[in-house]
Amino acid sequence: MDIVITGLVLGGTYALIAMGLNLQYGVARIMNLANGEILVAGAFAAFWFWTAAQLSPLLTIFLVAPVAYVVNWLIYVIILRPLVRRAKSRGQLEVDAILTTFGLGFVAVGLMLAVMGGDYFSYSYLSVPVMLFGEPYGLNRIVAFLAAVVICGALYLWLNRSRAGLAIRAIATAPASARLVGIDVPRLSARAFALGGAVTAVGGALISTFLTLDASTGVIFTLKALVIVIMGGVGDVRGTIVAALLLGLLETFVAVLIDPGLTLAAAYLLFVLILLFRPQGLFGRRTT
Amino acid sequence: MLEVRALSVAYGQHRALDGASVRVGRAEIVVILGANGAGKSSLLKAVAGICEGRVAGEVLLDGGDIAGMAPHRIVDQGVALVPEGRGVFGDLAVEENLALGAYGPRARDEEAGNLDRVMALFPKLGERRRQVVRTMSGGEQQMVAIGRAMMSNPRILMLDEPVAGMNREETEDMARAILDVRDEWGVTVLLVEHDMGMVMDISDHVCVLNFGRRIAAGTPAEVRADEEVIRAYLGASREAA
Repeated sequence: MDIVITGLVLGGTYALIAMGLNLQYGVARIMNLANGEILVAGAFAAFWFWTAAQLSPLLTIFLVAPVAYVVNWLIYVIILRPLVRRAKSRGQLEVDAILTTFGLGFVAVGLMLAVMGGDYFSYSYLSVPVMLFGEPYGLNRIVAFLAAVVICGALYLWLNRSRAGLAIRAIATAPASARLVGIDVPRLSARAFALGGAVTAVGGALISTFLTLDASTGVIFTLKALVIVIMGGVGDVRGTIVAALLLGLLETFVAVLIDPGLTLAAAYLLFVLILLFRPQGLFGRRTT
Repeated sequence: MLEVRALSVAYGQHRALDGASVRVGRAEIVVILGANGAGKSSLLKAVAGICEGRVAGEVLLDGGDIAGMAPHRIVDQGVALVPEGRGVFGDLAVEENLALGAYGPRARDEEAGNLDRVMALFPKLGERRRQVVRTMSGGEQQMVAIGRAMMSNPRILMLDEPVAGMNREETEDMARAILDVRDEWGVTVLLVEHDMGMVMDISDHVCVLNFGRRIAAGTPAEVRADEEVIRAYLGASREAA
């Protein structure tokens, strides 16, 4: 039972991170390989505010989200929009975006190394045990999970119940058709990319409450988010949540029952299996 | 109402449209006729601002030039396009497609009224509000596409081959719906088609394109009698008949 709960709690936080990448890839069509660096930057902001001013990460996210939104919006408008404009096909945009954001990731790592140094950083926030079904769990993990549930739920409702959310889903479904109904696709794509970055940074701030990170750990989270997005289906919020929970469960099962050193290997083995046997995602329909 | 002056469209070295001019009056049905490759679809795309090629010329809507405007601004000027292939959001439900039709500020105030009128135009859509569009037949998807376009509260509705792939009964239903759009809604219709039988019955004016050039324009009767049209387009079907 404790494996299941630990896995679900971890997966809930992963869902938030992957939701950010899914907005960036599903709507703005940018496979952002610098996504993990945004996460680490959010985590570092939470660490810095906690150590400097004892500001709770649950409050820091209200600072991190708008700053990350603006930074990601600028990245999209200045660096990525020219790629979108010149791309003659979706394939060309994907290649250009992957190469560009791969480079941006290194730039971000370099900047963070300059600011933060190369040391691991962690802090003690709500690191007290709480009993669930007779087993102790870290309160920080439970709080991060609950915050992720609230944010994912709000995003889900916004995407499915609001006019702006419907427009975002329309772009994810058929960007060429979105132009026909009066949607300003370039502007909304920039906003979706910015929102995705903000969600990822908030995920970083939450995850920093129970994980130790350093400036170069972003790539691990980028790849985990990628596994979840491909497994859940590009642009599919429901699939993202389910896939994230499955990944959290898988990692916990492997760590507890086999070997903690094999969690990453298990995650990428799952990725390969999904690409081989269900490339359209868990709930996606097979393309013709 | 809509005046296209000397419109040219080129894709690289290929000239799809070569200085074509078309006039469309208020609450008229104007048909652009031509064989495949005549430049019909390029003309509609250029008017809607979604043409990927190089576009030159003027597109005047009630005297204001809309050429070069962003597509979402053109929709907000009251120009709606149902492209070839329909352009519906296949993974979304009928009601979501219709709601997206009313996305622009021009359509918001009239959204409820327009939805009632779309349901009256295509009663089948009312029965299938929650159905995912990709699971519908081609004819039903065309209804969704036209209904969505009408939700944008347009002044002019442009349709690219609206009866392609439809059987006779569906074609007749669609022709009636297009007449209703003009007569009941007072909306101008600019239609591209190569199905002669259907368009000649419902159109007020016809413009014939051949290899990117306009070769004739007038009432359906005038166009039927035009020697160049007979040679370039109708001749083949008369000989076949």
